[in-house]
Amino acid sequence: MNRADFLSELRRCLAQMPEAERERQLAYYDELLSDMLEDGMTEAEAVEHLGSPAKIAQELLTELPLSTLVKTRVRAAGKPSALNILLLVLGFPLWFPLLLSFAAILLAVVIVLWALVLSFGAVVLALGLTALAAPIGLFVNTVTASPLLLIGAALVAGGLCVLGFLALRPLCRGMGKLCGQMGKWIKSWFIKKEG
Amino acid sequence: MLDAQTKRGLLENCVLAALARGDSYGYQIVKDLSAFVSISESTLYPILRRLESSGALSVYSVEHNGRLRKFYRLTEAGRRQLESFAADWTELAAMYEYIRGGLRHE
Repeated sequence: MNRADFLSELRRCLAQMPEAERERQLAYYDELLSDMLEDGMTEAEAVEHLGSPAKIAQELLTELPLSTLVKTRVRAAGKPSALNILLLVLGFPLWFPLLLSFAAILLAVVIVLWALVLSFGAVVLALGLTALAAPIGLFVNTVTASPLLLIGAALVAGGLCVLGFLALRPLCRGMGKLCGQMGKWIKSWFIKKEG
Repeated sequence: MLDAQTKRGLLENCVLAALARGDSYGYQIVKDLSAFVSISESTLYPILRRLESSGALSVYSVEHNGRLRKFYRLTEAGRRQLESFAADWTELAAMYEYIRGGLRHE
């Protein structure tokens, strides 16, 4: 692959990118290639060093906001014909509920996952409160439990609370990562597949 | 292994640090940095773009061998970002030393 091939291939793969941004990218790679040639590389070496245009484009497209991807994806599909519009309108009662329910399922999954984390947090908090409250029973006459039991309960609850608290952070972090992954996955539907 | 977010932040500040040593252009930045970190041309572009839109660096073109070369310059905001990053890391560097010390005791 020579320099011209590389640039035209990159242009093709970046078709989904807004034009101004695409031209900036191409100018950047064009400048890089010039600099590499000046540095003594051959054209083939320089292109080889940069890597495959398809892979570069994939990375750059994932950085775009979802709204831009959807917009350009729709535009790339070409002007809809009258028949397509008719079908879209007639099919509305069918596809709209499907789309809506799909979005609702995704949302529900996210909410359930976070609710699990939240309830885990609530349990940790409750254990902490138990640990603090149990010793108070020692000084209240109406509590008939033995002092040893109260102290034991406080220690157990306190220990569990500390353990749970330690687990909470990685749990939140993992959940955040999972949500990020999900966003990337949704984006990938709107990035035009090669070929 | 560093997670993507941390690595991205580190690279961003490496680019700022490279520009703190003087204005530079794409290929030169990659060459300067690659002695210390693994950074490819295609990773550099989004970083430069982000830093430009956040106002941490400004861009101007210089004619070179009959073509235009884009130069990047650190702005005042970029310098402040770099300084606050360095301040945060003083603390982390102390932790790192402590961790290393622990390993030596094994």
